[in-house]
Amino acid sequence: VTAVASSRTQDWQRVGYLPDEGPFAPMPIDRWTGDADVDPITFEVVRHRIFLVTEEQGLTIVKVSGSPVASFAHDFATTILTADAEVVYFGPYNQAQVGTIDHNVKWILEHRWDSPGIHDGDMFLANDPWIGGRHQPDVRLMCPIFWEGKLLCWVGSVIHTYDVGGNTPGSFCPDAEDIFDESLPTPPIALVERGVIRKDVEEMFVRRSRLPELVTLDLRALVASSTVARQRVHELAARYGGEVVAASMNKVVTAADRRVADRLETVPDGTWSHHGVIEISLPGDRSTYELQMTLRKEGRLLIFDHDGTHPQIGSLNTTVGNWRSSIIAVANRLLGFDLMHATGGIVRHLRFDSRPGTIVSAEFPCSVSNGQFGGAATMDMATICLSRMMATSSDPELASRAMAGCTSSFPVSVLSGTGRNGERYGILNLDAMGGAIGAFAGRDGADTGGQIWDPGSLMPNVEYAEQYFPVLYLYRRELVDSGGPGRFRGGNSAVLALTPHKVDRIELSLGASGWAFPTALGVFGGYPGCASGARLARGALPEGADGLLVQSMDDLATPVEDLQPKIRRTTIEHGDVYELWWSGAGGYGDPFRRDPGAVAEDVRRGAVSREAARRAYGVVLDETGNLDADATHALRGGGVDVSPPAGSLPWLVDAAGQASCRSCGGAVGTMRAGGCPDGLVGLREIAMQDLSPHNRDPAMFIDEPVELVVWGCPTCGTAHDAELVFGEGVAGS
Amino acid sequence: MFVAAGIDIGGTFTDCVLLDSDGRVFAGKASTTRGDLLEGFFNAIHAAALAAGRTGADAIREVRDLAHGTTVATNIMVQNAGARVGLLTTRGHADAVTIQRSAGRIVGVPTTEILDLLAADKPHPLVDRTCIVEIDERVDVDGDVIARLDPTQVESAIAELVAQGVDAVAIAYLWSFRNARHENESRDVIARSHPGLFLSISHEVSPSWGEYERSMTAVINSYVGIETGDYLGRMRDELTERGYLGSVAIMESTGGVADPLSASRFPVRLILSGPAGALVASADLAAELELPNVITSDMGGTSFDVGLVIAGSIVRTDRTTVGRYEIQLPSVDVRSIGSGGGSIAWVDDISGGLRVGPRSAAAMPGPAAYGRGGTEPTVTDADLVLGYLDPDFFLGGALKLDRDAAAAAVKQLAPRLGVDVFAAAAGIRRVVDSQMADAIRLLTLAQGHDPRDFTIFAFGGAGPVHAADYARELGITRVVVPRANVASAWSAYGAASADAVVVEQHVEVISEPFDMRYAREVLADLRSRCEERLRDEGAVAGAISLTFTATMKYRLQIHALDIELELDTASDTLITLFEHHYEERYGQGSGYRAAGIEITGVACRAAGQRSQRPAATTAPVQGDLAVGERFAYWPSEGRQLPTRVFRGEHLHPGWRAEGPAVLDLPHTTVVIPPGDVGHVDRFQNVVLELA
Repeated sequence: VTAVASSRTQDWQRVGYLPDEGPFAPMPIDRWTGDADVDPITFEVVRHRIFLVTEEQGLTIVKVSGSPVASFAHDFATTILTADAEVVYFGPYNQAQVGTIDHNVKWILEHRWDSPGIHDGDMFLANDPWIGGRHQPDVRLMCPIFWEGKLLCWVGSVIHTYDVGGNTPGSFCPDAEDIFDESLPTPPIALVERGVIRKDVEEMFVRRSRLPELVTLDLRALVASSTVARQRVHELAARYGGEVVAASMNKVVTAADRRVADRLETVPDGTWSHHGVIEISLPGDRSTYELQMTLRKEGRLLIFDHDGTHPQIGSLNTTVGNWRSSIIAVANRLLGFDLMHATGGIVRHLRFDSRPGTIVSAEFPCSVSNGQFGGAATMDMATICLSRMMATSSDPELASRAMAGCTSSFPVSVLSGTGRNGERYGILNLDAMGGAIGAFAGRDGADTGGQIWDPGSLMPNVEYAEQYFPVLYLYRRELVDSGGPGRFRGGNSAVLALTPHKVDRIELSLGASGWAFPTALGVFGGYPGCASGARLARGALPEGADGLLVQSMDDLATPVEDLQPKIRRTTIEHGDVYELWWSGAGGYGDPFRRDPGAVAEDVRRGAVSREAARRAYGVVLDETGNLDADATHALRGGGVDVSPPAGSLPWLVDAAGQASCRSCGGAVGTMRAGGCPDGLVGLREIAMQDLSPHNRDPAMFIDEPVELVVWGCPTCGTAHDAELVFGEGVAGS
Repeated sequence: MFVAAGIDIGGTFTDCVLLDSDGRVFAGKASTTRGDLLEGFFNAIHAAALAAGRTGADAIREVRDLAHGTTVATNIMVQNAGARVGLLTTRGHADAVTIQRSAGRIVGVPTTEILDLLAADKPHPLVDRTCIVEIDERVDVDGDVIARLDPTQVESAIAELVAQGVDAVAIAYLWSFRNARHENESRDVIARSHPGLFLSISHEVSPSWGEYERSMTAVINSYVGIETGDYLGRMRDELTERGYLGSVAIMESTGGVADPLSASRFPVRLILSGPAGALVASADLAAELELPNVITSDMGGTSFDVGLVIAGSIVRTDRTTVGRYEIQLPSVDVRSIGSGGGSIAWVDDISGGLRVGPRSAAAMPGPAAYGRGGTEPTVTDADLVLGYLDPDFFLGGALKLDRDAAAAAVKQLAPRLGVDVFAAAAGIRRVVDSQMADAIRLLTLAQGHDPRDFTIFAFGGAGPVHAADYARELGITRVVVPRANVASAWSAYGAASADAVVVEQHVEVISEPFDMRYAREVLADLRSRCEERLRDEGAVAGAISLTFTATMKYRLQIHALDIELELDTASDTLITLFEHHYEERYGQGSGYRAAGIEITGVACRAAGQRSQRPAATTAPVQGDLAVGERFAYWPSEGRQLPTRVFRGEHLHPGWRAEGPAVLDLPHTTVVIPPGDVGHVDRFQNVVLELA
């Protein structure tokens, strides 16, 4: 693999660290090269053991840390890398971290090899977002592993800690003007030197926290996880020799590299792009900001850029390391679904062409503690770009894995105050772990299938929340009509409503995105899942039992207030009801081509309402819930009722680049850059509130009007594309 | 004269162990009969009686105490063949069982597959969404009734469910374990109006904190309830018809037995009855051998099950995975990976590496050697090619193996691995043994222990064939194949020897300083409930032993530990005990004392022996066990060596053989590699001392 011009080592203090992809050996450290031939049986035995090292690291973190953030929400990550800083295996935990540790190792190789040096038994601690980081609470530890005096490999782990300082408890700082209102970023420093924890470094680091004892536990957990991994690697090396271990690691990377190369061979070269928008940079702001992603496929390389993205602003920003990591997380599950997290080989095919000074490649010293916004938006866009590309593959296996967007941006809803017994508490609502999974080319997505970036995470029980916090959940249920309509439907998400219980009030702060319009996108004519949101009904509950059985905000006598997505602090008083829901997942293909029987079944199960069946799917049901075939036929335009033939792409392209509709064969124009044919016609425009009953009027949050425009075949009217259009020209603007 | 019987129905085989009045043990095996499990049940009894030179009818006439473990509930789950269940929930919380805490897509899925979003979907729901009815009622965290239940609402809800064809019902309200009033009132309403309906009440089935797992436990109990009850009833009837006069007890996941009536009410407790039997037998044997720490390993055709005995106690858990669901019930902690005799070996075309599993040839078509149409090489084929298995004595000769077919299957891989057929077969073994060793290592480390401090017990059809190698891989030097001829019926043996056990739990989160007077009241109440249940079941002869535990954790951290206590344990002592165990399990300095400590529940476990019976003895049979020699390939030597073959029907204490050797037992084979030594101890165990 040869380097391309778009990757370069940058001025890391200001614009963020972005080294070349692939193996990296900038300085003379004696290392095991791993050039040996390993027989296929020894390779498998060693490979399996190496794979489990990442799980053993994770087990150790959960054991020692014991923190609910690490354990329930699974917000940690583990990995093992080659001596040349390529990921061999990435642990089955928070996948959004997948591209953070390798950057830190490369940085250490480049910047620490001479002073203080890299030695056997060292471990480097860091939380600098400008060096492979998402935001400051993600604390990382990198450990070089030596064998017989030569560098053999690296291991690394990350934990999202409770609090590392900054102007807001929890260290997400929604109104930070710049980094100096936030936690101090620390580039890699030696926490452990030749096997000994440096107390001075540990104390210097934990001093910034509101909960220093818990940060100390998290640091111990990181050290323990690296210690266990180091011991396991040493056992392997003692038995098989350093060269065999290094060679086996190289082989894992090379095999994944070849698998992805083979997959990319089945995809024609091209360009796929997505234009996105992100809302509200600070509490009080009503603006929207451009995001752009372009994916160019050239041979075996996938080159991502974000040209056209808005300059950095407010607290919306994230660093280039997080932008890259978010893209890798998506590429990993879409292109490497069977590679058991052997990320290094996948990354060899990725290139990142960044534009410093923008929202997703922010320059120091702007605020980046809310890097999850830019990270989530990047994952949304990468899912769409990569899926559109995969749908063109001649390999049906790969094409079948093209999918719509999953539950997007996690709403940071923090409840705090004084509990029933006078104790102080503060908690992030982890209910939104019950995210939804987007639809595939040939199958519906999963209702509350989980947050895609962390497949092992769990939603806490209601009884857990009510035990530790003075709240009563009036309901928590799957959200009807939250999944994006499509030929295959996006998964539904969920909603909760709670009220303070046996206390006077609860304090609430919110840091969220994707409320003014949906961000979990559909593909190929599928619609997006609903937007996230929260509402507050003040003084709504009458005293007594009846109030506590309230099942809908719409039943309340008092007015209901839609909350803004970014709120530093408000209160929920006794008798108020707070409702929070999060985005559903996107649909795949034209909802008017969905099997009407499947729609009827969705209605029967309560996943889709009768109104949505009619409005979004053109399916009419009689009073008993049975399909009214004639009315459905008429409502669907009397045209093609038959489903289009199976296939991931809604059109076929001939050698000359002319596209024809897969449903009817009619011409739909010439393929244009961006991945769509140019002969599609506008079929309809849909207002946000008509897309899903859970979408609010965008004007509540932002000034710019927005609508969904559906494009399709001029001959048969099958929808082939649906996109959000902002600004002038939108109906009602 | 036979006195006791243990029968265990597994996925492939039904095993029976008979004990006679001289303490002798006889084992028999029959195929599991999927159509009617009772057929295999009686066939197995007959097979065991035959081993003593008698008949099944003799056994049924003579036995006074029969204990039974059965896979019936698990089969219903696997086949999605349960009842049409209706569920009553608290208003606003109907979706707890469909949301599944968002884990439905990944629970029970191997780590290697969780990134494949297309492959792993949520399971088909056990309760149709239209059969879940929300009831206007609410209890809060303190057990206070916030909204009163209206019984007439339950009455009309149940009428509607029955009209929809529901034949079993579960009731699961929030906080019912703190205040059971509404669940009880609902139960009474239903029992009055629809007395025939199978009912599961969440606080009875699973008195536990966490509505998803508690509700799911109740739902699964109802889902498998009717058929399990039918099965147990038919078994009793048929036993009576055949002249059986003794008592019947059913093996439960917790590692004890219960009377069939209780098992019929709580059939979900049967889910792990097989592994529980094996662990009970292993813990008893470990005590006899004075081994504090034991890893139990059961390698069958499709899976490898691992359990632990630490410091003499079976490692238990409250959380069990059933398919893609999680339930909350006290049970033995057994973990399973998909490595077995039927695991298929293949070469990864990109890396060139040799992989084994996760696909399995299972029983159909089975390994190529079975001659049932399988052509892909499996672990069993490799064992046969290497000369470890006797093609004419597999399962005591019940199944003839085709060595040529096995060799042809393994040979397909050889050129791609660049080795000959023997080295390819040895490679398959090495890969699968190393996978199993890795699984064991992860499990013991999760418990805070080093596998080298353990002895391995190996059973199941393929366990003794592989144990020397996976034990060596872990740095373990001793393997025990328990009770030789009984090893392949180990779960049945465990059922026959298990105590009657009842567990009563009280769930309530209390913070320090603990009000120990209150705790004593609660524990005393649990104790009398336990004693009453054991008395009601009438199955206990002799003393009852009681164990009290408190589940404790640091606030702000998630790990909970069960700490044993006495009725008069002081609060300070309890805290010291907890901190000590916490550090032992999670490492020094891992506790966050400043956050405070809390008790999240207490439990009482009462156990009593079912009947007095003689200690197991074995009649030493002298004579040369060697039956000949065959060539077997030993990877440590890199070639085939003449290898002595022994037949173990008549093993006696004092027998000893140096590797290379193989010992054919009726249903398994003990492989003794070069350099290792095998011998038989006074309890008739085959012990391998590894070099």
